[in-house]
Amino acid sequence: MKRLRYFAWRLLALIPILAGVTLVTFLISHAIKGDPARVLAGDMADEATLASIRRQFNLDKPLPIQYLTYVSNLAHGNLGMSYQSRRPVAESIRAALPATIELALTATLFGTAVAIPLGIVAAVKRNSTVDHIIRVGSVGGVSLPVFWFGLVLLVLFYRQLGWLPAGGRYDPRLVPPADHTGFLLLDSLLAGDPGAFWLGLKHLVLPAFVLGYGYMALVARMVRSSMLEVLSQDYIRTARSKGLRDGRVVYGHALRNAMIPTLTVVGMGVANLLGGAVLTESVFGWPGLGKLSVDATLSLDYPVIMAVTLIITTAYVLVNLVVDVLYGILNPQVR
Amino acid sequence: MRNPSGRWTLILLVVIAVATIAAPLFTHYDPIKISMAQRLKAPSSAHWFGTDEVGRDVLTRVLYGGRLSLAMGLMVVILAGSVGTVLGLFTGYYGGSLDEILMRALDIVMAFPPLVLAMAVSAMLGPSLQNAMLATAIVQAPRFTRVVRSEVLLLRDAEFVQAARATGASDLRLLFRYILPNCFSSILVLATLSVGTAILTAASLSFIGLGAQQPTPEWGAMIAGGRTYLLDAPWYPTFPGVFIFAVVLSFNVLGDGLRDALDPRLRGRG
Repeated sequence: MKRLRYFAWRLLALIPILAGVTLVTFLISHAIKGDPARVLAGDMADEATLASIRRQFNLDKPLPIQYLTYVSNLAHGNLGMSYQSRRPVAESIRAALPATIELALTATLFGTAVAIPLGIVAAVKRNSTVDHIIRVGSVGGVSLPVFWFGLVLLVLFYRQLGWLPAGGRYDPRLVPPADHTGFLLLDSLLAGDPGAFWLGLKHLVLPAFVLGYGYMALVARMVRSSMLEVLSQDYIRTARSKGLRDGRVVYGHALRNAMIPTLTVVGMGVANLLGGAVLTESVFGWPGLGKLSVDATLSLDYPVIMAVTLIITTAYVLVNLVVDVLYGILNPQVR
Repeated sequence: MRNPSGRWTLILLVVIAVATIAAPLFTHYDPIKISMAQRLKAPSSAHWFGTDEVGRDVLTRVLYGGRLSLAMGLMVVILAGSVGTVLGLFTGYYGGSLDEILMRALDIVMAFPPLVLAMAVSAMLGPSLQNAMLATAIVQAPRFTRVVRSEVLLLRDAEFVQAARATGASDLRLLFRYILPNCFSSILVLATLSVGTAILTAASLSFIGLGAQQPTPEWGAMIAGGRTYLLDAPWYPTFPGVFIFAVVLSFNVLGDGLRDALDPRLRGRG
């Protein structure tokens, strides 16, 4: 019951946060110099046209009313018009979102799947050579500039070895499999086309690795240090003295408890990963939200920048919610 | 500092800092001047790191760019650290509705992934070095406020603070003379780690095109410039990146080392 109340409270706490986030993006887009009506209408527009655009987009109303309009538009999926393409931002977002989800999800899965065993090995074999290699690799991962790491791996795997493509999501000369889900790998499986799947995978592997590496490093470090903490506890000694095998102690007793503090860095890891996705997509020409937003940044296409900021932040807030809920489930103290 | 890796990284940082400050002693090339005849030359004895697309020496630009990147990292942290610390001191000490409002506002700022917010803010302010620094500082300040506030909450009712209060010390004197010095080790650890993050964030903004503009030598901007010539001149974007990596890594290791040294609870772990 107590736990249920905790989850309900956590869910309610989302409302002010998301309201605040929309307020920030609204204020940022308002602080931008220049007259949005003029940008929408173009340089040639006369005063009458400008006035009608201001009326149409509520730009002549006081700020609080404009904010409410903005929020109500958001609630209806209206993210504004792109200055550049003069089309609804929501359209571009819808087209780019699956690519980003595919990339970020692959990177997170890869990162988690590698980080946990590495962290365990480093903790169990503390101060061994393996531990040192893992520690150096993980400190390095947190400090790597992802955009540079991506370029270096491109030189290696594309220029030198020729194993992987230079970027993009699919070979531009070929027709990708029919778009059902927006997720290329899934679509190629649905189309029963292993060739397309393989090609899609080859495009995905490098960006996902580059993006997932920093996350993996962060999580591996945390798994290691919380495993060390847990392994020194009395109940672990009790478990060992009962004659339990090492594997049983490590995986049965220690890991579950070590995962609790690890979960707290997952949120931070995902924040870095979402920021990193912007850079990774830009380096690899991956047609997702990050590339959309970087391209928009260069042309100062504010509605697109703000929409991407809002969506990535909402995703991050939701990930933190899931992390908190999992924390509540795993951690008996929250019960 | 007993941590050996902390000591080594400190030495590395000092070497890099000295090399960037004394750049004219190590290289006689001009970081800005164009010489098309020397365009995209591979590393050689004349140009250790090769040359860029307009014939400038990459080593020279890396060294001069280092001045900028290091100075930017330090200035961002000084700005974010001092604003964040003062906010943390007052909000933690006085509490009440001011504290409540400020902390909820910081929750909102921290709900944004840092780089994404930095991008939005510096896009709003307009692409330039100063704006990228300001955006990076805005993203970092809340961390200082949070850390300092939680320390103040523990310290404000400590016996030595109560004793000073009983002798008639003013609030300001209590905050800056008694409480702040005791927050110093946490601030130092966070600041060290933040320099690395700040350099990385500022370089990322420059890479996107929001920070330093051509022809200013800056590490992130150099990588962005070298990206176009990646296949013909891989050295060009590679070297500035090596320096970003080395400096950020050093600050992170140093910060970890400081934390271990200053926080007895963590000693012997990690």
